[in-house]
Amino acid sequence: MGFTMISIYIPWEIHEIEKGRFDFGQINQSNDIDAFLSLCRKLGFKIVVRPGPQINSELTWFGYPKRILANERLWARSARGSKVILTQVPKPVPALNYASEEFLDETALWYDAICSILAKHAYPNGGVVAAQVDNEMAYFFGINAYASDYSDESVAAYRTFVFSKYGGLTGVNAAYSTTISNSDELQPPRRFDAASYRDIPWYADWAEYRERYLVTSMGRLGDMMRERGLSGIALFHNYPHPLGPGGAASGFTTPFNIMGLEKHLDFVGFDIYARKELYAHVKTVATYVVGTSRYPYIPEFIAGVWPWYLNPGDLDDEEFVTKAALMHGIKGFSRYMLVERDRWLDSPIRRDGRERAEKVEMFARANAMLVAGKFVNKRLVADVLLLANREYDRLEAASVLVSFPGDFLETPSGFSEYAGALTVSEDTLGFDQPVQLVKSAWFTAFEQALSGGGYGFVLSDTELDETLWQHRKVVVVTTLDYLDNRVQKALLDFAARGGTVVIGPKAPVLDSLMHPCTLLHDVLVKSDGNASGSRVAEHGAGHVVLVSELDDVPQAVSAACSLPGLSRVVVNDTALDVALHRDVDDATSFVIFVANPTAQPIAAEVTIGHRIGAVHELWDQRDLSTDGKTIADIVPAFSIHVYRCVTDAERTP
Amino acid sequence: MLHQDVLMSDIDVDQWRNAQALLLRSAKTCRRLVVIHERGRVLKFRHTTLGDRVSGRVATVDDPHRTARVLYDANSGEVDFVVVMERDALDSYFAQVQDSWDIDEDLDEFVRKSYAALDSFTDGIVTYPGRARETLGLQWRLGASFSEVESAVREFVRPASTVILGVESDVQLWMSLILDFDEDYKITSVTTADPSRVDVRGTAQALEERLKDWVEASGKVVSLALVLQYTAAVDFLAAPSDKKGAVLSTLLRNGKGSLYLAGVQSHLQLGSLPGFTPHQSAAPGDTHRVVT
Repeated sequence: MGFTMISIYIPWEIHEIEKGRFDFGQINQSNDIDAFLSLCRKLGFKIVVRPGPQINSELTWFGYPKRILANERLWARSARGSKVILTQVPKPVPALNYASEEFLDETALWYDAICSILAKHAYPNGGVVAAQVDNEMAYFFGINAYASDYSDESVAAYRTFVFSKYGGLTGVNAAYSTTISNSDELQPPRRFDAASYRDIPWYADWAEYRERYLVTSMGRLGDMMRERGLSGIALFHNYPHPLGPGGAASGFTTPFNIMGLEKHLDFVGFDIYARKELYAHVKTVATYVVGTSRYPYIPEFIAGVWPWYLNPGDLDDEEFVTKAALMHGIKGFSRYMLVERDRWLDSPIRRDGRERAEKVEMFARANAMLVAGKFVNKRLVADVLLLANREYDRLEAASVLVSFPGDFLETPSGFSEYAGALTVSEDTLGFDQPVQLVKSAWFTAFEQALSGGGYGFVLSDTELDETLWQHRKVVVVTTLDYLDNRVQKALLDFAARGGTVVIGPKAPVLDSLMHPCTLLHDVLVKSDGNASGSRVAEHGAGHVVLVSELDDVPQAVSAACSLPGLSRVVVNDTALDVALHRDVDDATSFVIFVANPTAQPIAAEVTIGHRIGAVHELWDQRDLSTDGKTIADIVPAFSIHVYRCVTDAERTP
Repeated sequence: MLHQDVLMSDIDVDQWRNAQALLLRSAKTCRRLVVIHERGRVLKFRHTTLGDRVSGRVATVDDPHRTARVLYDANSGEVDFVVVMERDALDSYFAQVQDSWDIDEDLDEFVRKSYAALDSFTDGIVTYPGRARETLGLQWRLGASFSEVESAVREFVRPASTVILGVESDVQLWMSLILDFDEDYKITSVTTADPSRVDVRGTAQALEERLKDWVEASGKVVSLALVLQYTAAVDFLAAPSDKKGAVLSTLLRNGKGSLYLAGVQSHLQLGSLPGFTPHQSAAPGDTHRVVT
């Protein structure tokens, strides 16, 4: 099929005989990791290893030895102090406490054993080029802010985090308007009871701490791997698919934090298991990873599913989702699972080695297209950076009214584990609108305006280092009553250097501690309204645009993106979605993806503002005739066409 | 009932998807009006798809059962059910359920307890129509309770044997489940018929016989094989538990499916299903097959 690397889990659960004793082939030959890695290298494969400690892998005990799960000192705790149970098949398992030193000590025993084998095979001495640190760590899918972790160790870490953030007791009391006399008096919120916007920092900090918990624990595990001989290979982590069925509209940030975790690991991605109907979700995940990670990689990319995946898809879904991720700029992926096994179905290769011919053909075709089309040289053309507002996402996460654990089947609550309109408080907290709800409507409006207008964009969030904004010409972000001082300043700096900043619906007047902060407001206060329903202020060499009404967003975005030099792909039907990729070595060569994410075929007409020469559809290997301006083609329902075209202009269309 | 080391392999994705559609109902996919309140003060009043475009908005909840019923009637045609939840009750419910977990407990027992625990919050977690434990979450569409299913298994399935359940549609196997039970009636394997290994075309009778032969060729002992036509399967599942025997009897008599039962007392056992009247007798020691 054209794959060049093999990615494998290595389950602690399987290899441990008893505490501190492991079988790597001495008892069961199939446990001989050393021999397997040697064989992979002999066959010419590079290797990605995933030694946990948690691997899930549909194993009975989620990859841990049973004794680890049975040790109550290692359990995470809910806000009520209860156990935290993930209902998975075939056994429910307790969420573990990753702030526990005892847990890390236990993991060290496993790492001592497995890393000594892996280090021997680490590149350049062997074929192991990367290692995944743990797996889909998100509180065992307990995304809900109050689901966990309230273990003693975690609460202690929370206090350390808060005191560090505010520089000590005085700072904490100032931030929270409290009069505590020592850190032990600081308690984390255990349910949402905010009565005023002045309460927001305390709740938002809990959401921020939950990000930090995951970053810190993954960072420590990464350091433990490096200390055991894996310092010369790439270390990465895979967050779980954040927008699966029932996922959030924009809350793909917290409790995840790609940029925070990439300070400790080499790269971080999101797993994708989606059916074609969830095109918008796949686009969100892909464009967010592309806009945020230093290596846009999908560590687990759908190739079959686990049996308790409800309403599993088929070959058409996998082809569509494959193209969708590539369309939005993904540069690497690991198929999960190419080879079927217990508790996994519909892989291209069956358990007995026989092939599912149609699947093998599709996966091979995708790889062949990437090679023949020289996708390694292709770059998504994205002049616009759409930032999710992480501050507001934290408030949304913390303002959830109900609390429940993760569930692989379906929680009896019926709610998504991601906070949303069904579960989030509607309290305005003294503002004129509930920030935690309004922000999603605005994010969606901005996203739709950019997509509908054909403007290339990537997603990230307000925590993205502002030095990385400079690749873009326009930055768009939802702003309401408050916004962190650093972000306000960064937006103005971006504008001052010649960029365009689009915000809305408000110019904030407070910072994240609810202190007056009017940096953006002061710039906009003297601006005039324009025909697009927005206010535009010149700032340095650029502009700051404030759009105040949702209905004005498309026009305001269009006006802001009409600057000279911004790329745009125009389609005749707004149901279509498009993405343009340039070639780093050939300024006249482009790849245009045209997606039809609807159930009806669409006669598409696509123009890029330049004369178009030869057009070739890369997936089906067919040439198209053009009138020199337009790519015209029938795009069937739920399909994506991939056109390579040559223009007569040596610059980005 | 589900063994901790259950093998779930060689599953045909199309049959598996169909099995889910036939046997499971997801509350998440239902149109719901959600009311969350705190000691009677409503904090959330929202429809899963219509948002706040619903009738009968209330600011307080005095009688959650009455509120759920009135809202359901007021939004007839727009909701599959109404759920009225008190914040503290929901948090308490999940704390109770999670604290009840025991590492050696079977999944299905934990899930059964989880849903049964909703009965402890009859005023705090309210649905209409139907009780919360039978409405929320992921529900089996078996028309029988967990204990009734468990009893039926012990009555009709031999220890350490295999059960084949199938549904035929358009002269094709639309869905199958092949379940291995151990001596303790724990399910040790879950799979489907593999279309790459066995011909899945044919009538219900042909499929039942062929699947049984195919499974037994692998060395397993089949103690029950039932293949019904699609509409018959729907009727059988929809029938109340005390009528299932009679419904199955009628379906088989009318040529809507095929049943194989192994065991010396099989015909008597089948007859013990309420309302079941076997149309074909079998002497003790014979295999009982009811076909069309």
